[in-house]
Amino acid sequence: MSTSETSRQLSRRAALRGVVQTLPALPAYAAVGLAFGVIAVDAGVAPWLTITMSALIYAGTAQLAILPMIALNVSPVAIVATAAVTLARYVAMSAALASYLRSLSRWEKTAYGFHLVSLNFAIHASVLPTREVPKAELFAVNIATYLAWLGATVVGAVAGDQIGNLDAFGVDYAMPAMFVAFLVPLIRNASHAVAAAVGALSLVGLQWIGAAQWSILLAACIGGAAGYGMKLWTR
Amino acid sequence: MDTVTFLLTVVGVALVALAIRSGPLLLLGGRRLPRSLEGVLEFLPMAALAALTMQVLVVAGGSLQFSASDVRLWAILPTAAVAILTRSMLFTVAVGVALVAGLRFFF
Repeated sequence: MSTSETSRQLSRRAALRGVVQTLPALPAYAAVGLAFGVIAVDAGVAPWLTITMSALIYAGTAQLAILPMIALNVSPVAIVATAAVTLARYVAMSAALASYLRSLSRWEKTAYGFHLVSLNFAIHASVLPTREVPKAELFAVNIATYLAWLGATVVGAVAGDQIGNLDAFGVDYAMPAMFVAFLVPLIRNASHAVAAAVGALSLVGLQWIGAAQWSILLAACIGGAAGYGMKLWTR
Repeated sequence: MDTVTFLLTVVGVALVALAIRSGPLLLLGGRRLPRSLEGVLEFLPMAALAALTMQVLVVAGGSLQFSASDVRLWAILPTAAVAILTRSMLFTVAVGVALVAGLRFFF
């Protein structure tokens, strides 16, 4: 009896340690969730659907990527494929943590993957190689950031719905600004810059020749191929 | 897009996002990804985000629309500069929005 009490206390302390690890980054993280809520409502998504996006998808870039495509009436299949492309970098993050999380059950791994966002990855990639991390601590980090993201989206969506159209104050520019802010840290060498530049130019070219439906996905693939080609060529 | 289609799209994106992030954890164990796959995947996100940025800026109502009077186009380079210098999502969005609001007020 007393041992189970102790283990419960231990896991409570581990969970607290996990929540504390998220605190320094949490205000800025919540602010991004709030901005997403405002941007999505400004783009014409109903507040409850905006909140549903944060609750079910829980990946900032993919959530944001959907918005420009709704107005264009892009087919759902093209939207899903394009959102997947923006998330390609998570394949590497998930793979990088796989060896440290081998002891988790199948369901725990699935739940962990649902919560795998850049912030959680940054925290766990720095902690997991140095010590044994209790499950309670691991999932406390993920749940704390998830609740912050979801809560902030609720506030942003409701606030955005209340204040109405603010385009005169530049709110419509928050979406491209956020895309740029997501893009810039990903560019770490010349090949990455080539991928971005070719992706942007291809989009204009594809729109010009009238490839509306699949233009973003095609542009992403052309840009990605150009970046990979550049890497192979300069090696 | 009607509500049901939108909701199904969101569920589709959610499932794909889950597969992308949980898949390697479930399937790889301790093994590394094939080098070639890693190489191709590395360059997709920046190309996609750059294409999406362009899409928002120069496509309206399904066709190319750009004019020198669109202050958002003039704001994009200063916004990128702020993102490079500060590495802050929040600061980048705040400065960008303020810049566009200011340009709209004066021009």
